[in-house]
Amino acid sequence: MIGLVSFTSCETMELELVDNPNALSPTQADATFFLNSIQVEFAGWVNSVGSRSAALTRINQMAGRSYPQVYAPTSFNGTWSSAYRGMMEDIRLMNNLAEESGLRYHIGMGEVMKAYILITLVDQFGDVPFSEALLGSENLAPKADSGESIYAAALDLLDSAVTNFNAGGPKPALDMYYGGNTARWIKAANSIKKKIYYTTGNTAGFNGITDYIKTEAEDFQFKWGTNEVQPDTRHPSYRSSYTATGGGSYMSNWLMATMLEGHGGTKDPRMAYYFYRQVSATPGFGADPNEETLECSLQTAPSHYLASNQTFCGLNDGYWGRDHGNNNGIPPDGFLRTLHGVYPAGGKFDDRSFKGQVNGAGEGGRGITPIMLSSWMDFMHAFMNPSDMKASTLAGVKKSIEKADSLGGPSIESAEITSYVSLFEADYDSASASEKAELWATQYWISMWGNGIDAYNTYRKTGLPNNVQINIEPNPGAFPLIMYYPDNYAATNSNVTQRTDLTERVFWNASGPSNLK
Amino acid sequence: MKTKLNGILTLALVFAVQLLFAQEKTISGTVSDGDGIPLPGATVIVQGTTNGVSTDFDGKYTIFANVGETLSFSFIGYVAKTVVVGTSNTINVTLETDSQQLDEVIVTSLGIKREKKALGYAVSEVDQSQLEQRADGDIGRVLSGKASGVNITNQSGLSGSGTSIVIRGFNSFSQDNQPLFIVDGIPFSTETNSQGSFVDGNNGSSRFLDIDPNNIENVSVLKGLAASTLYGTQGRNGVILITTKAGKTGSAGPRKTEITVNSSIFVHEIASMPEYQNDYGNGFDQAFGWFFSNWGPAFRQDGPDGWANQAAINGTQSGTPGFLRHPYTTASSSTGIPAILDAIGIAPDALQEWKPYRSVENFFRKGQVTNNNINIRGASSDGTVSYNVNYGNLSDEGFTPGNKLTRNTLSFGGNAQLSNKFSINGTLNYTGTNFRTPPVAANYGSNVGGDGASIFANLFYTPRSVDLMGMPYQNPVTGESIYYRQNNSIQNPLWTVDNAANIQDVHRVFGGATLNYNINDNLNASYRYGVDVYNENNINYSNKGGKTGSVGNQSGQYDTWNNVKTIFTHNATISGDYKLNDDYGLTFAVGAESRSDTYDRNGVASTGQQVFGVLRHFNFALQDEIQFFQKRNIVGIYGQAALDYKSMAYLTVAARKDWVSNLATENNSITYPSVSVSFLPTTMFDGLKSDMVNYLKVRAGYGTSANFPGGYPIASVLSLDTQRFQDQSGNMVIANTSGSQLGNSNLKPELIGELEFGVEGRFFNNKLSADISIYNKTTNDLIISRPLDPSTGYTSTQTNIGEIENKGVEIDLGMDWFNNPNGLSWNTFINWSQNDAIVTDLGQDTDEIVYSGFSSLGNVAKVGKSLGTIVGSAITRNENGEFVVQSNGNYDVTFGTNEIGNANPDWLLNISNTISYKNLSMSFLVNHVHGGDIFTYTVATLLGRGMIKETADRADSYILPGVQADGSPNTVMINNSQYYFDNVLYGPDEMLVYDASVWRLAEISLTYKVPKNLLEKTPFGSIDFTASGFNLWYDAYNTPDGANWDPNIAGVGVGNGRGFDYLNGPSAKRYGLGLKLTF
Repeated sequence: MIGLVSFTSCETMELELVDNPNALSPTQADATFFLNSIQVEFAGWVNSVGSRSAALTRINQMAGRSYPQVYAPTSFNGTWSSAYRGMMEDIRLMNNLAEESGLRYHIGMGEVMKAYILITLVDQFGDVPFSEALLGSENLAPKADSGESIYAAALDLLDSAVTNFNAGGPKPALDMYYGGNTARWIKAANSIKKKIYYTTGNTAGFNGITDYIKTEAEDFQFKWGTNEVQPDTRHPSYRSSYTATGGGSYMSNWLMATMLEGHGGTKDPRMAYYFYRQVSATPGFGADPNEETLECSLQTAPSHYLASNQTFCGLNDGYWGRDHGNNNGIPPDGFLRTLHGVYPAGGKFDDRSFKGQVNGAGEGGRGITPIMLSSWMDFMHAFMNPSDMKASTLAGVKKSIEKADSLGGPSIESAEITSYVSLFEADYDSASASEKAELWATQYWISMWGNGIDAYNTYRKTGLPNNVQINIEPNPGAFPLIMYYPDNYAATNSNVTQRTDLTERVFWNASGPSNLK
Repeated sequence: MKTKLNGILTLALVFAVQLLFAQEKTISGTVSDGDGIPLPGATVIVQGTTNGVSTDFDGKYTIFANVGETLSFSFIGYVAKTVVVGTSNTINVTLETDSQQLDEVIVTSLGIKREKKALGYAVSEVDQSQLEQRADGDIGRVLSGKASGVNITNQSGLSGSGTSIVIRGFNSFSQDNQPLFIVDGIPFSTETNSQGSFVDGNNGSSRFLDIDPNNIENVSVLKGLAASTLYGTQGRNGVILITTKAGKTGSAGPRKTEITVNSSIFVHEIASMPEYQNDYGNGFDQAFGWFFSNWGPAFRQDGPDGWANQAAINGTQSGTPGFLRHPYTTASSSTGIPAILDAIGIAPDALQEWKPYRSVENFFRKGQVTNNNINIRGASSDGTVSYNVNYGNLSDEGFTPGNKLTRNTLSFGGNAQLSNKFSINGTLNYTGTNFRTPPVAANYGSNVGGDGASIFANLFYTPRSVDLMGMPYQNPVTGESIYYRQNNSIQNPLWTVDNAANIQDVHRVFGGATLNYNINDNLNASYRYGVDVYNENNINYSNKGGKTGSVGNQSGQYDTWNNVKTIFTHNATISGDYKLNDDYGLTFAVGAESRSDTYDRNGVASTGQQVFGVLRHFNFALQDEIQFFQKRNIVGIYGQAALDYKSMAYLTVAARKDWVSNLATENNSITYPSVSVSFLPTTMFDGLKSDMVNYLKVRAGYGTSANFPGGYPIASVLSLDTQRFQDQSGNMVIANTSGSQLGNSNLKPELIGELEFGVEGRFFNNKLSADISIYNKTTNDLIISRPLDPSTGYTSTQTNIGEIENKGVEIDLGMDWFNNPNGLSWNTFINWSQNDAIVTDLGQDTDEIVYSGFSSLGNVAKVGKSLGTIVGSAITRNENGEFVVQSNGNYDVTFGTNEIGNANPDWLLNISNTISYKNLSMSFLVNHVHGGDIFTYTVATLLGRGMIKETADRADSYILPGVQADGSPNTVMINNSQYYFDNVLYGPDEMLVYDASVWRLAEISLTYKVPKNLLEKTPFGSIDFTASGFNLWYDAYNTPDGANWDPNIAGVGVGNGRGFDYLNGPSAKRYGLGLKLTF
């Protein structure tokens, strides 16, 4: 038979064509390129988890009437694969290379980010894979570790990060968070440790750390750019707010109403930075009701809204958002509704110009995603140390207002800041103990505009603030105390069973309140 | 098997030696057919001996025989004849064609021709009369309904859009399931290279479009694996064997030059135009507004929903009752529209009447299809050289403005007898195909879903009160799209037609040559070289100023790239044909084949158009690379032996071994055999054959095939992105990230096995024919792109853990009601087929794999479930199985991968009838798809946006059947728009699933043949006139009437996804006239 085979071309007989020419091979990896990828991915990931948490806690508007619907398992697929495949696997691979070359700064950065990712995964999903994760073909069904043990591992990672930062050695070509400032990375690591102690209620641990983020310059945040394509470097909220056809998302009526009410009859000075109004009046709230552009301007509030005296539909002065849970069809209001402002999305400062805005407007998306801010440290400190509650809350409010003008728009006069803080202080002083806690929580939440991860944690821990707007749907399902496991985890890993409801509690929340809404 | 073969060969040698010693009288003569044309290759045997010869090229033979012995003359396709040797030394024999075609000759694998009765497996044949003069230039679509067990789905009704062909169900859900095309013995590339994904636009032709159906002599469809084993892994999904007219030159003999001209012209229209209601216009909840929806006030003045209540219409705002202010005069100033009113000729106080406009109806056009083909064939006077030349031209204007397909095909074929030993034949084909369409992409009931644009995304739910055709659609200053919505957030379909397109311009050359060497009368060696090369030049562009998709798309997008695909094949075969003795005959073939597939894509993607309308890369701010390369070689060796016993029992055994280049050496080969038997009870048992039972054949086959993965499945990769981000100073941040696919060096080929039984018969004086097949096909070691828990560090790996079982039945029936060539003839053919692919194993660690569509809405593979099962969100059921309704009256939704449908049809039925009377004949093909679900945004959108007649009764209120969360019966009343918009369109996915059963008048034609006697004094041999129509009527009777929706659509493209319609494909109908001339 062999004699029959006679081929003119060897080209068609080559039988070893196994290397993929369309990508690099893993042996061609570079530690710095890994670190670059991790840094960018981390910012997007925090922003995404942060905005979903913010929607749950009314900082952002939630479009979708039932919680299980909005926070369905498949909606977390990206979060899950970005965390493990996108970042932690790259951190693991980077570390292999970095250890060979003594790139300890690389390793330290990876450890800080990995610690933050891990505790956030626990905060959202409870027990998740850790010790058996990232083993590739050696374990295709990693078992989950307890949330508590992962929290402990995160603390170890942060300690190790501090050690690595202190070790000196070469710095990465590009440090997109602190520009090569070792001291600030150490503060960031310590601040995340403090967040862990805050979340788990470990006062001694919390207060034992003193070298943490205290000033705006030390804030742990990611800076976005203005490039629209190839690549799109703009703040994700800017991308959806500033388009050729106007706004693409709605602002939360609750947050705007709360800030509009302000203190002592003065609206919150951050409003002009947080929001941009495209019109000066909203239908039914200073303008004629208009079924065409704001259907609810002709409707009365549903009974459960009336009963609990909720903000409904719209606000005065052209603040045009939506109520919690509202998922109505979209009228042609792209150039009417309120947009993300200059902080933190890099949009337009509200200069009372009241014009429809398109892409490129304002700061063009040169915003930030806050990960850990000095103001938040004050709010946490206030909670952990009741004796410092007032002073730290006031400090947090002040720092948060100061932060709002950092991306564009006119500087907020220090006199204005002082004045508003004292108005707040007056309200605070005249408040009962429970009202004080409410004021603290409200201010903490306002300061978290841009990342609601800690708001979701705090709400579950404290049940505060209590005055949040309820869902427009009377029966939205119980407020989620935990999230469904991502579908790409539950459906592919034989060692996990999807939870049937969202009433399970994360380990640090065993005794948290039950009356969340 | 080898030993057996050797024994048989030895036996054959013995017989040959015997032959040499035979010493009798010499008889010679010619064997010819009824028209006097010599039959080369006919068999002449002295009965009762092993003495036999074949006729030569001129039908001549010479044989030694004794007087009184009987000579038997046979030739496949003809009735055998016996003549007793007398005194004459010359015996000329005329064989009559076997009118019953009991000995029909079929082209089987590797071009081996065999009598149909000898085959132990099912083969369907389609001849040129069923392929010529079709209004559709796509051979895939023309074959639709012509063969049982073959399921053909159009991607959409656009001219040149893709077509999916699946034979006997899906063997795999992660690998290609499209059949192998062999054109004149040469493997032919048929992939569909879509531009983008189904979300971002999936336009692209299936490359069998490069064949002109008018140039096809016949098509054999090899359905089972026993039939296709010799084709190796490539034949696992069935084989479509095409013999072109150019490739048909093998049948030699002197003949006069024959010229055939086929010419036809058709009108091309949209078939699936919805039946819109004309009572209500734009708005929501009976109030006017510039919405996407049509739930606005009535077109009548009075009544609670009349326009008299609307400030926008009753004159309060416009000054004229019954008129609106023109939408451009009230557009947001940020759209730039108010500033250009003068330039577009709209007065600031312009009004628009509140009335229904037939916007969608008027948007489409009547396209024109012209199809011309000329074929010239002939042979040299001595019959040793024959040739064929074919030229075809197709121009197919779609019903959608901007959609057009043009194709030119030119083919040459020739056959030459070089000496008694050598012959050579070859074909060479050129095809130039140009396909152009406005962008089409998935739509979820509101604008386009992905990054680009879609012509249909904003069209079908144009509110009735919006005058699409009467409004300017382009900003004359910036060139951008303008439309009615106040923030200009809908891209005007007319703008899309003018400013965006997907284009594929293909140049293709394919063909091959075969060299035959007759070693002796019984042994033949052949070598075949095949080449198929195409260059598919793709353009995808959108001028700047679009209003949908990504920022890049809106800034102006221009992507150009070439796909160069090449297939080279070498094939060497030795075949033998031995008459072992009176009772036994043996044929065999052994050979080897190598095939190399290369796919090379190179191009540039640009964004940021500078000067409006200029489509050159220099006119764009940013460029990005497009590059992809894939090469795979397969080498195989094969053998086949067929034994026949007294022309009543047949045994065929075959085996093939393949090696592939993209697997690890230890796993890169697989061997797979097949065996099939056929026997003819009517020949075997004397008493059985009667007027009632004329012919009976029973067959059984077991076949296997292998499937190799595509791409580079065992390599782990690292992704590099040179534009991951920009640092604060604008420098590009370069990043690498681990690959998402875990390489698996243990990956091995899939093995597919199929057991098939069949019965064929003819009854009642051959009036009724029947052919029934049942099969059970199992894919073992199924290659699965298994999704991994990302916490492993990877998101998928290719592995061999699945098993799929396909079970099916195919029934072909034919009935000659009347058969009078000079009077009335009427015959009916029916084919019915049923197939279900069940996933029987997915390994221990995997519950289900969603393999097509979106991860939460797609086709799932789940153990025990049919492949094609649709999963998505469902209406929540309580423990009693009742629907749960929320307090607002809407269905509660259970998210996740709930089973909401099954796209696999229960069965397919095709009925064709041909009725002829003298020179007039009429034929029609009706097909029915029974069952099978489809998830359709077309129907849901037409309902959900209040467009069609079903939604016209706006006073209706609804109480959804079900219970409230507390278990009490639901009593919450909801209105029309809440029912249709919130529940039907944007409720649970389950609400968008319909039964896709459909009856269709697929083809109807009336042909007049000019009588021969009228042509005697003309140069014409024949003249036929045909009027025909395609897809003139259909009824998807389980879907809303007003949607007039056609479920023959593949919304996720040509691939393994089924049962989805993302508003991306209205269907077409065509009707026209054709003329066929021969001279």
